[in-house]
Amino acid sequence: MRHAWNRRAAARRRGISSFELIAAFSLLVAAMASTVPLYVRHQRLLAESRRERVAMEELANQAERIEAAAGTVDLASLTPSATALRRLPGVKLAFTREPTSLGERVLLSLTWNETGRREHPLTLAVWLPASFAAEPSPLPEELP
Amino acid sequence: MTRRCTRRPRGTSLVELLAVLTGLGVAMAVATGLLHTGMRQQSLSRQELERDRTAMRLARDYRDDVRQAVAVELPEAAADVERQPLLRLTLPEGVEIAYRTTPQGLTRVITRGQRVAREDYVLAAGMRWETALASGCVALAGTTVPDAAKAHMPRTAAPLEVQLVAAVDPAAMAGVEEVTP
Repeated sequence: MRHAWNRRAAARRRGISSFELIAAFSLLVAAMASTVPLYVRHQRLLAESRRERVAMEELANQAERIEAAAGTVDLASLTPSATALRRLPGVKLAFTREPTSLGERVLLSLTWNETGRREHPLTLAVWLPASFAAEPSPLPEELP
Repeated sequence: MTRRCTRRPRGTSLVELLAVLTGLGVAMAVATGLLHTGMRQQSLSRQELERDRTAMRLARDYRDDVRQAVAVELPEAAADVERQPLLRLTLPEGVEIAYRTTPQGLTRVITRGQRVAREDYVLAAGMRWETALASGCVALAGTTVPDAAKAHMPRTAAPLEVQLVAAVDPAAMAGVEEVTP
């Protein structure tokens, strides 16, 4: 009677040890399967946030250049800076002009090669007093 | 006549034990690696976030200062940046602001009469800073020197590059030579 119980217990122990091993590996594989995409996504987000900061600085710098030129800059010939060209792949700077009662509203927008970025460009509005828009003049020099 | 043993062995064999221990060891090593990577990534992300926040604070303060400036003074040569301020601005009501380089970034020294205040911008070690005046704007550029970056920055942290342009009152630039691009 006692021998039979021991046999059953021993058999159960052996089964559990291999089952534990399989369970541990399954859990580990599951954890890795969920962690690796998280890690990749995290890296991508970091890179995106870096690029977004560069793009924001670029737009602010372009706005300052337009303002410094007192609105006499030919907007059509504005080009992204060397830093933006280097850091943002496929960067494109565009603008739209909108006359308002207070002056001209220039909406600068920046796009680059990133998922969904072409549909949702980064934008910054610059307001130029009405007197600025009337006098187009040559381009300002490119800043270093 | 030999008697055949029909009893099943009790306990676990050495091979079973070794297999389980090896499996557990591998599982623990991988789990520790994952945990370490996760913690390192968290640290790096926090560092980058802090750096970005500092860069944005610098951009805001720098543009505010330059826009208000009634006089702008730049160092005569790039080599003088170590001794002289990178940029000296005179604001209305006799307030003077100087941007100086530090081993970790920049510092903004605000002088109001006898009172002096400092504000530090900790960005990255070993950055090279330059200022230039062109087309009615004052440009401030800072880049991480690759060798210094290797020595002081974490392995995967991206090198930092700061490029700021601010429009300045043309009257404030009197006597300052413009830079030909």
